[in-house]
Amino acid sequence: MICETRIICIGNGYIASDSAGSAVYQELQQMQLPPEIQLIDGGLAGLNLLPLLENIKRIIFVDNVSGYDEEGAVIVLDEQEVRTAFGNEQYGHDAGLPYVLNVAPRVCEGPPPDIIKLVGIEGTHNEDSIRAAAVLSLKLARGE
Amino acid sequence: MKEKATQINLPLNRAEGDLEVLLEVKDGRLEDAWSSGTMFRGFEDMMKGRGALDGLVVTPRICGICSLTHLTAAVEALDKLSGVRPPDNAYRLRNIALMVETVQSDVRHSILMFMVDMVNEMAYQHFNMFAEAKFRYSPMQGAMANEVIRETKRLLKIIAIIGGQWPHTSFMVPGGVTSIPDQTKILQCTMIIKKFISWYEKNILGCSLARWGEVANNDDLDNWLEESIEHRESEVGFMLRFLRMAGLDLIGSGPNRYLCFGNFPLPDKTDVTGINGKLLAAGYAEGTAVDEFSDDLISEDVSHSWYEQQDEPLHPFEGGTVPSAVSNENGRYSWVKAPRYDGKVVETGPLAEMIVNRNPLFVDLVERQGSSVLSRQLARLVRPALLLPNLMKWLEEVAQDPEAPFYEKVGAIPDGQSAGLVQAARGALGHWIKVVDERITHYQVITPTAWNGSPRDRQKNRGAWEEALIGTEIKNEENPIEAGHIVRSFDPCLVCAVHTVKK
Repeated sequence: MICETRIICIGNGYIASDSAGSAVYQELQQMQLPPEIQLIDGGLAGLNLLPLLENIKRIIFVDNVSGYDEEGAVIVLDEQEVRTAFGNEQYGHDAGLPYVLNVAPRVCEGPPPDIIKLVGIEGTHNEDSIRAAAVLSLKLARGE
Repeated sequence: MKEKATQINLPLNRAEGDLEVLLEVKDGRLEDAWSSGTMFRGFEDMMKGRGALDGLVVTPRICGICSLTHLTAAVEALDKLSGVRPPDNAYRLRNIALMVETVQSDVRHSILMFMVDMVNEMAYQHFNMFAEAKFRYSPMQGAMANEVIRETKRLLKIIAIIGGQWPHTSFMVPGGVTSIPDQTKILQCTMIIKKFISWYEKNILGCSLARWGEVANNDDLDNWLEESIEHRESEVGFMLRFLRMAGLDLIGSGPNRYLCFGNFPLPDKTDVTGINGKLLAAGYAEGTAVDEFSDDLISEDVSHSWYEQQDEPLHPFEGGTVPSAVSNENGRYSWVKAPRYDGKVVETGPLAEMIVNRNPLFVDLVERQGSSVLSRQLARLVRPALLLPNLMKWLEEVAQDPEAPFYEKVGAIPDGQSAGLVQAARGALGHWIKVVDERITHYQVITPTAWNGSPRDRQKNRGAWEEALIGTEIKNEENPIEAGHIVRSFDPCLVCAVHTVKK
């Protein structure tokens, strides 16, 4: 089966304010994912996430977000919203998803993904928000 | 009449959101500086009570850019504690992976984080090279900026092959490595490196690795620059010309003391030559006079850091990392500690590697006029020229002997203490660990940025880049670009443990 979708959970499981992606990754590991969906712990890869944006139709990122909604909310941002987030143009050691998505079309090989979305968890998380984010990520990955 | 001193915050947020540098300017010159790390990480305390091997998984998450370097330091400490010497092929694969990470970081930092400052309009729009700088380095649009990302991206495949997975491989374990790439995979790595070397020679150096290796002093460097248009228009040539025009060969002199932990242990049988069992020797230099390195002479001073205070600076086997940010009393201003070598402030990084290893070009540059922004950044941009040929040799040696072992069995980790000391892209990195009953009882990490970006110590000695800033002329307080160049030439790295998306 050719992998058509990647769920890429990013962040640092050892830093509380950035650990939602890692927690969702662990939650998704417990679920039965169909073979066409690849689950990846993107961790702190930053610019080195770029190869994961190649040869894929749909990408669902999961990460902490800040400044979008109420504490604990689970939201979905489309590609354009992520590309206009803070830190979207300048490269630094802290270059994150906004920079990666902006530079990707200029440096990646092959056709770009049809769909890129971010499932964001605002601020601190709990079991409910992690579960909700995992279920939502899976729905989006299935194209639902 | 002398002007009153003014204080300005150096705008470093573009690259380092958790680094603040406060500058005091008087009569147009930097009179004082305070560098503050504003984020507490606390990985050291997180390690206590964990299994002896947990550093292999946890510490690579200290940093997204040098995660393999942390893995290397963690595994070296455990190798020593276990009393095991990994097989030759294990050393080769570990070294190859670490070299790839270093080369990737060197080129990315030089173009994307350092040279991008040359498109600062307020400072450089009157330069005749400004339009070319914009063409090369403008964020998102710059031709070389995008090319660097494209070319360094391809290097990742090597780490994925050697590490067995990407991201976040933990393929290094006490006694060796867990993945054994077959001949096809090694050939694939060789092809990637050959292609990268061709690109590096053509675009970064403008000449072959061998021709660059003939540049042995400042006169050679001038002659090399004049020799051909390819040299002048290469990234090294452009950097030299632009930085000299901007006077960056004359500012940013650090403490003039250099520290290198040594790097890349040599396999027993190899064509790669080095010093004292490593490709890069460990050492400490005052000026260009190199002395032997001793781990015993390292201490951490927390007198100006937000940690529980100690009676005296302590060796990392003894010191703690207990936060105590109750106030700024007694001049505390940073979450970064102040590591010192033999009680002295030192600089670490590519330039320190060059000095300690007696690279003739950089010894000559430093003997002529001390360290500078230019010498520090040039050392970083040309370091791959020294690493890549050895990387190729180790790939060839693995291919020649693929049936040789990659792992030496290790039993339970015994009680004791040990240190893993390596060179990250940014300089000396150390992990100090104590183990009792297969549990970690003590873990200390000193990063390169702690050495270079430390606050003052109890003798009020400034940290390395704080010191490098002093006396610098600031032409425009609204745009203190000179100070930015100095700090960035050390490649500060404080924030890469966190990457949250912010509106």
